[in-house]
Amino acid sequence: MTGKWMMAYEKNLDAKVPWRDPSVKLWGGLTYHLFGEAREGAVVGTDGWLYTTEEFQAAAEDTVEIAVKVEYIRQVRDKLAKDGAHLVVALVPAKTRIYPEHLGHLLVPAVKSNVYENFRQRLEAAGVPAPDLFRAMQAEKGEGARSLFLRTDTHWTPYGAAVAARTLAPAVKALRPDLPPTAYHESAGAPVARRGDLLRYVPVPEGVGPAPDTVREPEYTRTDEGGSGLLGDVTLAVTLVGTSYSAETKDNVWHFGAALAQALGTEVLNAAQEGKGPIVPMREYLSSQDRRDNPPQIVVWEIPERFLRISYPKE
Amino acid sequence: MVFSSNVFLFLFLPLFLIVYYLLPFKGRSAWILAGSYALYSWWRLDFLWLLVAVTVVAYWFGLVLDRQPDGSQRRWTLTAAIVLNLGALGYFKYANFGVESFNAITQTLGFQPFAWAPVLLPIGLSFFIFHAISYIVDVYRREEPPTRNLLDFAAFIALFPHLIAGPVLKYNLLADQFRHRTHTLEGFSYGATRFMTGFAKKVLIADSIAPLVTAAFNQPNPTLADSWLGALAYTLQLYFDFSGYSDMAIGLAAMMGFKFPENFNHPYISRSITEFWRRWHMSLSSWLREYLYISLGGNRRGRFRTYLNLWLTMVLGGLWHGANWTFVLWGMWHGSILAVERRMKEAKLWKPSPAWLTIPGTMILVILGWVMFRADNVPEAFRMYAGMVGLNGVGLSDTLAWQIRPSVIVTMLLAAVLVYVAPVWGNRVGDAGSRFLRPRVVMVATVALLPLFVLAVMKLSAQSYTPFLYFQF
Repeated sequence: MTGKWMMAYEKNLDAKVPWRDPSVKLWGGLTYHLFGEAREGAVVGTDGWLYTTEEFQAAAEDTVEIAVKVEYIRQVRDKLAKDGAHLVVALVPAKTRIYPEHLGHLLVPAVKSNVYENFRQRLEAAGVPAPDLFRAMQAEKGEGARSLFLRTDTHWTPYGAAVAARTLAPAVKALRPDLPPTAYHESAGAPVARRGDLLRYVPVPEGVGPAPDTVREPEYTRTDEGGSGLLGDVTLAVTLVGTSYSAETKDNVWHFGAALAQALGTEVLNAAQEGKGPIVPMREYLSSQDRRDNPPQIVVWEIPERFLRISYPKE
Repeated sequence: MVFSSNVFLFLFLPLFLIVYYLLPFKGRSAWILAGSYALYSWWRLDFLWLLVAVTVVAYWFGLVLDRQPDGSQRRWTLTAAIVLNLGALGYFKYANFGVESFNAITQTLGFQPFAWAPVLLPIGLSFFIFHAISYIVDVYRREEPPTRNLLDFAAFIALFPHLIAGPVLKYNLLADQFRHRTHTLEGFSYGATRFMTGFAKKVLIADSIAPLVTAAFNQPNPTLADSWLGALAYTLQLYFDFSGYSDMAIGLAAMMGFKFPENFNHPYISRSITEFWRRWHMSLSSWLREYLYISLGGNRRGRFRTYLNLWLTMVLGGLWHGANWTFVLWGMWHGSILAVERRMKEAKLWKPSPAWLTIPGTMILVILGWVMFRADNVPEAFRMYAGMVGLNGVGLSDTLAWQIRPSVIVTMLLAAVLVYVAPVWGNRVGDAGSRFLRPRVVMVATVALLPLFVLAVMKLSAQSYTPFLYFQF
């Protein structure tokens, strides 16, 4: 009666018409070759670099949303503190902030220039440690093997994740110097081509658009005698909550959780989730069995800068 | 279901046309009605009753008005019929707006707001109410005998090419065509060509420009460049969207053997606002003139009343477009200019001026009006006006600059060229043997439409593709 089924049918039909894929490729190819454009959602920089448009978006309401986020983080800190746990925020800087030199003629709006540092300082002022990942990453920044972000992806590289983990470690250890010790060995896999998520916005045949990234996926192996891998039986003192930058999924080749465990020299329980942003995984973690089973001493909350302006439905 | 959708293009339309042409003539009105009701129900089945009710009520009033002798009783019957129709329009289209405006006033005075559950606006309501009113008034004025054929009448009101977004038609224009119309291959081909033209205008041009318009109007402090770019983009988007839709409606009607009147006649070459309204949304202008302006007394009650009637017609015409103060102000803007132009003409102050002066001058007035028409609310429109006079700086904002795609700028340039070449092209086609345009060139241009249509269909499909955005959250 209300047209819901008809709408669902139309959507299904649109997705299944046989000319959909050729159409996507044709228009993707035309706009990419004629105008150097990606589909809405991404922008094409120079030297095969792609960026998500989320890092460019700005609105008048952003200030309010950012204040809401600071307040929520403060509440989470207080809630964890009641159980004797500390919160550390891993504020992941935007890719455009680290690699603006590949933006070509595109300019990130000036209003965003201080977002990272302002947010970080507000957290610090609220008593939530938030190490400066931007400064650390900028100091370590390079190209190729030392690239911190994938060229064709929104996410960081294994190297970028490791730099972030190393920067966070002193702040975490300062809060809890007595974390249960473990040791890991890191070995890099063979270099493989990896098509980043942003290449979905340039729907052209392989070999035509920006070249895929080359990645050496790291493998972290526990070398001490305790435990049985990353999820051993011992109580895990550190929990990582966050987004796809942390979640262990099939697309994750950066293994931030494992890099953090190695940098801290202790096991890390990874409660990060893909596709839900930074707020929802934290809400779910706070009321989860995981938290009850493994009461943490430290919670590292990974929050990408580009999500700071996005509002999430209330609980 | 909109015309620019896969379900309409590849399921509804072919099925409808095949059955339509298999049926004998006397079965076609029933099929048109069935198809049109099916198309309407595709949006929401639970609002079909309103369309049926408006149809039956108008039909019944037509019969009553015909039987009644001229006099006060007949006038009362007409009033009742119009009040009923406008009541439905008022409730579904303007009740939310009325309550919101009322609450805004009472709240400023410190009173509690009036509790109200928002009413859903049925699609096409403004159009089928206007169709019904035109029929009732025509019968009242004895310009048209009432129809005894409810099926034909219902098919006229619901006729799917004009059901959702016009053109606004008078019953007497189509009454004869329901009784008799010819179906030829030439007519069908013309209809198909016209439909494809409209489809390409809508999908390739209007839809491509739309994101830039949204981005510009969303700027909190638009600069001179931002606001003029946004206003120009909207001026082009609206024309190609609406005239494209009208082309599709006229084309679909022609494919069924109907002749719809033209709805646009190159409005952006107008040399005055008076001329603009003879070229823009012509079916609405003519409806407003015949049923509103004349009913208000037209120019029969003195000079001042004529200006007031013009102004009121445009204000109400503005409000007809939507329940928002922006539309009222847009109507006031046009009504005031029309009144001033009329006054200047009557006072012999209107001197013929060259086209290079009057066309851009008229366009500036039109564009200023479109800003109010497009804005979500009055403050947003005034933000744009502030930008247009440079109160927020001159150059492009960096919050807009990154959203300007080269492909959209190229599309806008092409659209602007089309706006000003099409009238010349139209004249040349009429004179195809001229030394400028040989018939072969005209034929090539027509054939070129087919790949353009295919390209537009592919763009429509490509638009429906949304990459998996897991990283958006």
